[in-house]
Amino acid sequence: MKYIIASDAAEAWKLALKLVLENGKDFVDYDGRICREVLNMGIEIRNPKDSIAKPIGILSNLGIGAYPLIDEVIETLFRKDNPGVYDYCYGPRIFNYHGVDQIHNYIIPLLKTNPNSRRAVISLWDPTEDSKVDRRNVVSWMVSDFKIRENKLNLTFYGRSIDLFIGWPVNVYQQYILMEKVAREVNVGIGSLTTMISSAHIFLEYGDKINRVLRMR
Amino acid sequence: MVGVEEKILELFRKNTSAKLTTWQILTAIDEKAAQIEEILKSPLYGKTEKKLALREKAKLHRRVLYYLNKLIRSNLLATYGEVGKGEKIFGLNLTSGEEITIEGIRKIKITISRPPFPSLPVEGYEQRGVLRKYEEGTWINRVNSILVEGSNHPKLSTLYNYISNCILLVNDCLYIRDFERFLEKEKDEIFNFFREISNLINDFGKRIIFSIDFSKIQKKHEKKLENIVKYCNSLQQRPNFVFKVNPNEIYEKLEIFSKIIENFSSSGEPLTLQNSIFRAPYFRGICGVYGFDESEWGVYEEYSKKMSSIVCSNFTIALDMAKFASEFRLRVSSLEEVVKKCCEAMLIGSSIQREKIQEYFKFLLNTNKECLGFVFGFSRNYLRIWNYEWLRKRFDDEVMLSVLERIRKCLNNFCSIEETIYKACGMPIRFRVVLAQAIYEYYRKFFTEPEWERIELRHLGDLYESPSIKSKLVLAEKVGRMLNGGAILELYKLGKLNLDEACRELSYVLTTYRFPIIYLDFSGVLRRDLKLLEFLR
Repeated sequence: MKYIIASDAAEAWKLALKLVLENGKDFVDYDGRICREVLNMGIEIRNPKDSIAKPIGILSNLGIGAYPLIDEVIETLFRKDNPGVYDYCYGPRIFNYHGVDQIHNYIIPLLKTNPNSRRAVISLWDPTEDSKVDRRNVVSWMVSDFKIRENKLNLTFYGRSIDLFIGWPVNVYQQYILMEKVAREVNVGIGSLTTMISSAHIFLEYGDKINRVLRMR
Repeated sequence: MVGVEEKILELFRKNTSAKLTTWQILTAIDEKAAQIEEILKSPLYGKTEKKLALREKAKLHRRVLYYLNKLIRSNLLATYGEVGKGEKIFGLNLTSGEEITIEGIRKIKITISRPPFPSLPVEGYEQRGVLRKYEEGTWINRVNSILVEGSNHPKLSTLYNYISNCILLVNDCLYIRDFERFLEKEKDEIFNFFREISNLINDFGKRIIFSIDFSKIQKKHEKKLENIVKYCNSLQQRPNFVFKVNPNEIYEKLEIFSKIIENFSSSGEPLTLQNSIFRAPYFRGICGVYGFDESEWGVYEEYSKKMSSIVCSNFTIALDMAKFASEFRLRVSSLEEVVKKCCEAMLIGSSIQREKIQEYFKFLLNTNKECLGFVFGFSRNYLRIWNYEWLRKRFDDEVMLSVLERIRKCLNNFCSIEETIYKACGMPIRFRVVLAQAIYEYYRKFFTEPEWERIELRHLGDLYESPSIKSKLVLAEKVGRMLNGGAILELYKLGKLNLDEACRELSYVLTTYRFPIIYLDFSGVLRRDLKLLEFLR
């Protein structure tokens, strides 16, 4: 298990990219892309409030392609339905999982009544949708675990497979937005935000851009 | 802080899409904040002054936050995230096209309206006449074309109702699949149906195309089909047909096929055929050909019984190659740049359509609830190339083909990257842009004079004896392979029409060349009292 601790998102991102670049193993994935991967990585951001959106800002200016608008990123996180324009959408999995609003009907009431609870977990993997061999796209964000300690909300989320360069900046931003919402509702401060990734990978076609990010201050 | 809310709203009225931090808002509306900013940035002030300035800044911050939160509670503003140490970002809580009027403290009315859609990165090119969005006014809030599953509607009346709802959602055409199924209905009922369809076409100015699969026409319905075609071609605003055939069927159903050709030629209307070796539907809209990806169509067919309709195309932008070359001197980098801008514009458009999907396309979602993902799951956007033959005239065939290939690769690359980015961000979308021709009748009013040469047929022998026609067909087929959005072969019949020969010509073309759509124009055919017309291009 490789574990990174950093003060803010930008620092965490660079450390994670460097780790995969230097220690990862290469293979060709099912799309024919050369992937460098580290299995079982943890990334802990001690102060997620500080510049959580900075990695997104950096990516948007790298000339890779058009990054999704922040409005759309937030909107897909909170919507309760998927009108079919996304292969999947996180919002319905969180706020309307087979009719269950995991945040408002479970996490928030649970943490209000039992702030020390170890059960404040939401699940996004839906076997009825995702456990299909021929399904084109399935969720990477599997589980988020909320824990209040010393009056601060800490969030750990587990991703089965995360593109550290393109995907992680948005994934962690979405986690933070959700974390902030719950903390506000439960009236606690913001603690650390941790990502546990089974397959933390980068695609080598972005090697030059990744090195550019690593050279940035 | 007098009139603070008015000042904040006035600030956003000037730039309705602005997203501003608390301090940016303060410095824009309060002179004191601007002075504080000056002190904090200037090296002329010492630690003590800066400390005092920071304290004042915090005070002003708290005061303006009071008014900003008031505006949030009134639903006029919303927060859009945070920067730095928890400083919030504010923006208008207005949707595109929405307008509000507020009466301020001094009874001054402030009207704020958000334009229907944002600026797109193609506007400069449009102003120079290089690009053109298809139907600017409805570019965002409609799609180009919809396929309606004719066989999933039990009656003509229900089909008509469905079509009359769908026509409000398109800016080009509707394609009604498997219409041959309705040939078993009574003739009068069918005629009434088409009369109503004609009225719809007249009212809305869109094209409605009915597909007839020749392999499914029973002998007993041939006469009825002949009468339907005759009736439709007599209508003021005629419904269109596309006949799905293979070369064998032309001979097996020679009689009805000849009658159809005869009717189209005598009424001067063009005949559109789809080569049935292409399983996916192809059809000719107002601005060009539309179709579906052959490999994806196979996937869709398994679920088509559950669908009422699917979207074929969302956006179309046309590029005038000759105009582009005159403005940018045909530099490869400039060409790729303009192609990317077209893709970016369509990507922005698709983002807005996703946001507004319930507002714009509620009918489609409500009538396809079983397989929502399929409604937009097979659609493609179109980049239509106008006057690419200009390249052939200025250079040669190979240059023209290599430019088209370059554009196609650029499109594929852009779409692949974008789909990957969105997928990595946990928002997997479909985004495809394909290449096709721009139709002459529509685009000639906007773009440069085209330099293409028509393929004119007088006799069957022209197809295999005339070197110039053979070479045009071969080249057209090569171009067609580049046009992954669907290629159309346009043939112009001249001289006296011999029905038997016309059938053989079509059979020959269908057998020998791979075009999904063949468009046969009879306007040059010698009719009884008409002289042969000379067409000059």
